[in-house]
Amino acid sequence: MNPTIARTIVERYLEAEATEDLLSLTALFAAEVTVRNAANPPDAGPGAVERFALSFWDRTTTRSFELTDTAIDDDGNIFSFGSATITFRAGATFGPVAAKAPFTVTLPLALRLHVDEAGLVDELDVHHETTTAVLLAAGEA
Amino acid sequence: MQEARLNLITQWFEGLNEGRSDDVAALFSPVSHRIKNAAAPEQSGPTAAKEVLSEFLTRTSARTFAVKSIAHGMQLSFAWWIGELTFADGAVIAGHPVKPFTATVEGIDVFDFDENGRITSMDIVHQTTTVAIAAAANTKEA
Repeated sequence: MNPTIARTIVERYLEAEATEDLLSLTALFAAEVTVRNAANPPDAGPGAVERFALSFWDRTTTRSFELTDTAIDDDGNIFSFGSATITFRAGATFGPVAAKAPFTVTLPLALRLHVDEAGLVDELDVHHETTTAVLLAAGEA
Repeated sequence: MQEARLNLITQWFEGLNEGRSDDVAALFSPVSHRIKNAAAPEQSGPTAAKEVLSEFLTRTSARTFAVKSIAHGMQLSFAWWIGELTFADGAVIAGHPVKPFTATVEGIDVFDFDENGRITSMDIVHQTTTVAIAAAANTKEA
């Protein structure tokens, strides 16, 4: 895989997430995708990307991303690192905790996207710490 | 350069698995560096890694990290890992003093290096919910 193409895939992914562009987002992905979002159980099969994105957009009012760097390995994996600044709505849930008021959090964000032979993403792992948002939602931070 | 970085990253994980905090701390720039371990506050300075490692190796009685992939970008290097962490008796995890328990966590470590090949910046990125839930379930009775 070409490193420039890999970076472009990540940039397009983040742009689509930031702007709630479902069409552009799903165009990057294969028909069957496994999404592993932080502490959530894996979601595999048709509709996984749509479920992930729509849930994320439903819980948030704005989201922006900064991309520091990307890298590729020999097994079709793209890794990226940067940060995410996300504003959650009042009522957004984090397990048993519901946000008492809207809040904004900035988190380091690492992604792994696996790309199939057609150049489409068939695995997406989203890595970030999941403590700060819960504390902010509960009004404890 | 990539081979040197690969070697250093390998030493990082091997050192963690074997509990060799001084060896692992020596992988970092002695001038200054920063390290952000998951949800913990970022620490910086010439002894930041030593302090973070000391605390981690005290909290955990055993740790086994298996590296799934390492990749190098223009600036940063990435290591995707899965780890089995055994937390020590009496360790305070997410505010809970705990009985020993083991949790599996997966994450990505992100490294930046100086011109001498030492780590100047490191982010340890992983979800922190699994360990917090396990800690609550394994809280020591007062």
